[in-house]
Amino acid sequence: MSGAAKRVATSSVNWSKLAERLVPEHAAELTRVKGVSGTFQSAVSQLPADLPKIDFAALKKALPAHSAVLDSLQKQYEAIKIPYGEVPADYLKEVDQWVEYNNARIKLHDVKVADGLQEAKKVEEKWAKAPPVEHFDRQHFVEYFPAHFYDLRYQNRIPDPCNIGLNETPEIENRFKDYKVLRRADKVDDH
Amino acid sequence: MSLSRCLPLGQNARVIIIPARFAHAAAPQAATTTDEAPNFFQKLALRFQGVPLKGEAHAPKSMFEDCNKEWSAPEPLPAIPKDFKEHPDRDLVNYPYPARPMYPPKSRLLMMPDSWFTPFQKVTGVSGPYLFFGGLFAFLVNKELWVFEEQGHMTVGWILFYLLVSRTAGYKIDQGLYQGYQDRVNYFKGLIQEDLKDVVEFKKTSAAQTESLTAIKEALPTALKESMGLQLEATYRKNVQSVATELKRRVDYLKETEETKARFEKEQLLKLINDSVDKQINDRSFKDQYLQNAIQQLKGLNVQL
Repeated sequence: MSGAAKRVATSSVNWSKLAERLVPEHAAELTRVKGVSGTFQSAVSQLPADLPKIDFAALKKALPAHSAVLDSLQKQYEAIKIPYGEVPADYLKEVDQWVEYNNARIKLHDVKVADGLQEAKKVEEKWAKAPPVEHFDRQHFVEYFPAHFYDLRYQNRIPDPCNIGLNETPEIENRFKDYKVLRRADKVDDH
Repeated sequence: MSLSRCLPLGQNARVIIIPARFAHAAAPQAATTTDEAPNFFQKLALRFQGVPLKGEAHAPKSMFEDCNKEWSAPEPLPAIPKDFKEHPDRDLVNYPYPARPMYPPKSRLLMMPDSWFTPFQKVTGVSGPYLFFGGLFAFLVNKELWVFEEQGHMTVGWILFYLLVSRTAGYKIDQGLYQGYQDRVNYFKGLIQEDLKDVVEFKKTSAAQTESLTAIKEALPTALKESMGLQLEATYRKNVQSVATELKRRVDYLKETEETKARFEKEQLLKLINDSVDKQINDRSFKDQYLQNAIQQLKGLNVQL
């Protein structure tokens, strides 16, 4: 055999340990690679690693009539070189490209996490600074629970204490925008 | 002193003893002694004593149980942090944060704030404020500065009504209101917890994703390269196997040839031997000679009967 490339007999990746560390979104990628690797791994484990040693001397003794043929066979057998081959550069380049993509992905994730942590810190700080709910003032409720309370001093909305959804459509506001016109907009004043 | 001395019992005196069996007199004694099967009055007495009857886990709750009871909160409101400020500019010395009090401020005479009385006490003593306000009220009424409205006496009824309700149902009302208040506060606390839970969840998921991406970064390029290496190895081994098989086939052929040759030789030799034997057997002179030999041998036999 040619010993040019490093021979790989088993994968050095601990698949189960790796699978534990992955989130479900990334597990699919792992499964794909693992499937391919597993196929070749099983092929490798079934086939012989090297050419078997053959005792030509014993054979020659057993078959003296064919010693010339056996000689030529031995010569051929010893001279044979099975090419090992090597991974095409394109494929390695693809792996490198994938690494680049993954690095970009990690970078994006880091940016997202940093952003999210900043937001999270804001939320935590907000609640750390807030007084106990028991001591909330009216304006605190508006400040801290804007989805549940409103302050009509600065919010442009119609009072809706029963929460029937008066502010969900702009119709009422449009209807009463001009306090001098208490009529319907489409009503024609022709008499 | 015996009772007999108090009773001037003469010869003609007649003593009439009237058995007075009333529930309040007889029952408590019986209740303490009898516990197997109390009679009606004993049961009544047990009820009043608050002792559960046989077969009851606890005495029935009376509707008057909470009457005239003063309600107090099970736990005080949480204190405001000392240095709490809504804004860094807030002057906490002159304008402290208005913390919600757990109970209403102290009052006298049902509704007069205690703070109206205490400043007087330093100057006039304890009864001073009462005299002052009483005198002021009397003055106002006397000079008809305070004119009673014709329905004014209804106030007395209202006060009585307030007293009645507050003393009877006050405890339950306070308890119910407190419960409602707690529910509302807990609702808002729940909202806060939800908000913070999102933060915790985000931190957890983002940490898991970071870990996952790191693991992928570490392992996957190696895995991909090794996968390709394995593919090469598999192909190489396949070639090795085919070479080995081919060689075995050739050697096997040689062996087989040798064996066939040997077998053929053996067969030929056997055939030759068989043929020559057959040929000799079928020869007439050989048969006759054989018979003659046999007869000679038989003649030579010395048979003794």
